[in-house]
Amino acid sequence: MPSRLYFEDVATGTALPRLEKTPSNTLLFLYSSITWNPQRIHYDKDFSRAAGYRDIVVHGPLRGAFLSQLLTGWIGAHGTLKKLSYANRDIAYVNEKLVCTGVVTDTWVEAGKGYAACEVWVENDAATRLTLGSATVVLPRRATSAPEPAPSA
Amino acid sequence: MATSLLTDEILGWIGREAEPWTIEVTALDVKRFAVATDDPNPLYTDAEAARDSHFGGPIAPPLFYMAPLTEPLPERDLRPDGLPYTGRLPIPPTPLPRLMDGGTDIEFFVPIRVGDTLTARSTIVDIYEKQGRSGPLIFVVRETTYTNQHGETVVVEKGSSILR
Repeated sequence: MPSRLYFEDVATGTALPRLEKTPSNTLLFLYSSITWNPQRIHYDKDFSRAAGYRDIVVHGPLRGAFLSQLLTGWIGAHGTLKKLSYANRDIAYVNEKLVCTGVVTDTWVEAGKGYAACEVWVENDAATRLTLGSATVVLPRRATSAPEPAPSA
Repeated sequence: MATSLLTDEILGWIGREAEPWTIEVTALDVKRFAVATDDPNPLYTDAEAARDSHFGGPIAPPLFYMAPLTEPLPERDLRPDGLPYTGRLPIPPTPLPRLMDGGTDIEFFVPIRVGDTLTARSTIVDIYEKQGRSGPLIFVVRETTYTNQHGETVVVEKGSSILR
């Protein structure tokens, strides 16, 4: 991954990197703590099972945070995440391997800035997409001040 | 036409505002959020690296604003499933018992910086009904705007809750 991603480096169809996460019970505990979320399906296996879940449930917004990390890691410190939309379609369970990735669906220049729209998602090991999303990022452009070729007189 | 579950009382919740809340963006909470989301980006935790970036100082992960979503309540005020009886973002009373997350649309304007004080204002902007596979669904859509201490809009989040 280049340390600095430029607008000229991406085109429709460019694949985003794959960010793998296997959220453990400990990570879910930490996320419940920092979000002050006392909901028991995120730490109490017996309660989760009694409520009809197979195991402890990964927080929906944590998958959103993974997608934002995929995007900010990909664009680097000189890009800007402008929009992120996501919806969780299926439950993710603790200790399940999740892959966050995506693809560029459009690029354009607006007011001198380079934009890329992406489809992003979180899939499990069976390649089932558990979270569907989309994003818009702003990317730096390579210097456009290159001198014009001298007119051939 | 099928009978609608959307009574005038429920529809009267459109436009209802939650009590505004504030978020103090401390270096410690930003570090905790970065660790809790397994995000090693030095912009969030390494003041020196952040100073050398074009941000000029430490920032928070984009979704940090979600961190203090739940109001700390004594355990006696929590339901058996651990959720508060009344959340920070109230939901109109309906005959549908289950609440699901219906998706989140976020637009980012200026970065969240360590040291910021954010103010969140949330309004129910729409309530509508759809027929799902297992019966009727009620969608409650709210828009929450986070502004910083300079009055700049930081984040606008549109989130849907689905009752079924």
